[in-house]
Amino acid sequence: MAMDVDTLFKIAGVGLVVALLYTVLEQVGKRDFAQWLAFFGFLYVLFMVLQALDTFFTTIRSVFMFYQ
Amino acid sequence: MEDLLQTIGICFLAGFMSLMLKEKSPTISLLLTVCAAAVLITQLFFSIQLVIGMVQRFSDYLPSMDLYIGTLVKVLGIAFISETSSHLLKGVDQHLLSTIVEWTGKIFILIIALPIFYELLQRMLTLLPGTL
Repeated sequence: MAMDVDTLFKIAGVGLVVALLYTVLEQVGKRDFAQWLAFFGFLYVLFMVLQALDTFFTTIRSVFMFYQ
Repeated sequence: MEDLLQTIGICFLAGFMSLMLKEKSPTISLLLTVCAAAVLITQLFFSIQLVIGMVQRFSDYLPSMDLYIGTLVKVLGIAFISETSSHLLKGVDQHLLSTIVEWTGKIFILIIALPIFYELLQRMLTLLPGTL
């Protein structure tokens, strides 16, 4: 059973970088850029989460014989 | 046992990372928790597959019950998917949507399982005198 921990670390890394850059951009005064950055970071993470959920649903459908 | 410890360890890891992110980017922290749950449950299914295989082996001994066991496994799948999705939605603070997912799961379980109840009712009616 090989765990897919890479995705978790990737999400945590993206979250950290986005939080850091958000703070920096806000300090510099580019609040507009900071909000777009947070938005795109959220979208990126959301796509990873959606991929994980897709794998989850596909696995359930194959395990519980819904394809029959 | 190793798998259990691995799962618990990854849960703690995800929890700590989510706690770390909560202050600065709460949305990504929530998504991290959801992703961890989805990944771990997907891994759990490789163990559940063993259990389903054993249930399938029961159906080899009872060929007349094949249809019922297939339905039982499907009901189990719907229960699992709706319960997990509802808890995932509760995890991101969407209680209304989680309730809707739960009820949808219940209704679909009824739709799948009602033919079995119907057949049971018919068999019971054949046992009663004067109904045939």
